[in-house]
Amino acid sequence: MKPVIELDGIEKSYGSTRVLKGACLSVAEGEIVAVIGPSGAGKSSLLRVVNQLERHQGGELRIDGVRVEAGDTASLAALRRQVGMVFQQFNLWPHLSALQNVMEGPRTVLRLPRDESRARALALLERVGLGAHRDKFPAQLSGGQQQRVAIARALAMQPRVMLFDEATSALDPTLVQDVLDVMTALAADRMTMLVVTHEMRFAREVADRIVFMAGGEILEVAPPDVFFDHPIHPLARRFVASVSSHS
Amino acid sequence: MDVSVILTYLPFLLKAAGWTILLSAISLVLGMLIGLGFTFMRLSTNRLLSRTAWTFVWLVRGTPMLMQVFAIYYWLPTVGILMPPLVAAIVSLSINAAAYYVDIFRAAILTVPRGLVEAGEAIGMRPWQIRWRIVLPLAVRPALPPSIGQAINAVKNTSLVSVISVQELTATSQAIYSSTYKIAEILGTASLIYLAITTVLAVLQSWLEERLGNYGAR
Repeated sequence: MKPVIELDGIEKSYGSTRVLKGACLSVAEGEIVAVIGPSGAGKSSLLRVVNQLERHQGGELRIDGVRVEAGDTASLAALRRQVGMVFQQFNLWPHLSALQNVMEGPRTVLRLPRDESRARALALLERVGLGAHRDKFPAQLSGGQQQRVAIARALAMQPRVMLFDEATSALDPTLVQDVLDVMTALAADRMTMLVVTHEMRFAREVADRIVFMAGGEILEVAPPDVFFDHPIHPLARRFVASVSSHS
Repeated sequence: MDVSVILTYLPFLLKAAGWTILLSAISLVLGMLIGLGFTFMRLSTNRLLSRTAWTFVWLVRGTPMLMQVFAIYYWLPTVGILMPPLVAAIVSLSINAAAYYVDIFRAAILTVPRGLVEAGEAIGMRPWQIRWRIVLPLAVRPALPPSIGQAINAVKNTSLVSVISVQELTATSQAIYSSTYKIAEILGTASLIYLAITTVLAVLQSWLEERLGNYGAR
């Protein structure tokens, strides 16, 4: 399988704080990679470098083998069309209905005809189980529903990769499963996914590989069974022990 | 109190009020457009643009509008820019309103959460698309109350262009009381007319606040 995302020695600092210390990771087409670790580990920063919401200061990022340069806004926009992102806080546009939120990318960015954008958005809303809610504003939807609209919004761009940045962390516990179900279905369709999550069961059951991060470094990369049953790095062992005592 | 003088001159006052409304409306529209332009400059990452806009706001807000009217009508001709009183009035009112709208619009734009901008960036929207399709529509609601407040100021500021003989409400009132000597009656009536105009704006504000930008909340 050829890699879709390649991170090669990625460095990122905020002032004097190094949040990514030479991160290396390669995600193959159709692969589902879960990024886990304690808070402040640099998981979100790693994800945000992939679609360049954060610029890296060192190392190399390649999407589909093409090196991403800190260049003009046009090539940046072209990169982001390929990489969908789902945020912890949903970030739906409150002045647009669910349908309009999903249509915005096809209409404004892809410049598809109105009918085609609408058809694509409706199909996606159906797919995330929200066809009946298409005309509601985000404020009229539950957190779980909003997050599913946000997933549909990202999918409407037909991205090569989907990034999930703690997509269920802001949700009421009773609403988490609906969102995880959509993500699991997406994984079953072999969408390439890089998922920052605190849902260990999801990581174990759905991911092909676990990436464990702490202190801005990728400390361990392993298949879920290997990682959770035989973590090697001391910090990984402590992390696995702490999460398994919760469940 | 002499009611008959009010009745006699009311048609003249109302006609002058028409000029006041026209001046207010034109300078508000122009002021908002110019203000929006300077707002974009002010928010630009280009330091020259940002500082130019800051300087414009600093100068216009920091000096009396009366001086600005004089400067535009009496001083600009000395550097070759000559305009009739009505045009000078519109220019000075528009520029003055624009300076206040810059900070009103800027503050409203800054209320739009960063995450909503990032959501646009994440699907590959260009900066100008994010600005027009996400940020500005969401800034309308927070900008509304201070914008109407500034509109009310703009209506009252039209009285200042009376000094360059634009026959709006204040200048007309002065002309009438200087020949009738009924100062209290005429200025009282004029004030009530100003109040009526600004009341319309205040009512408009409540009406818009109920209908605009709630997007299904509550």
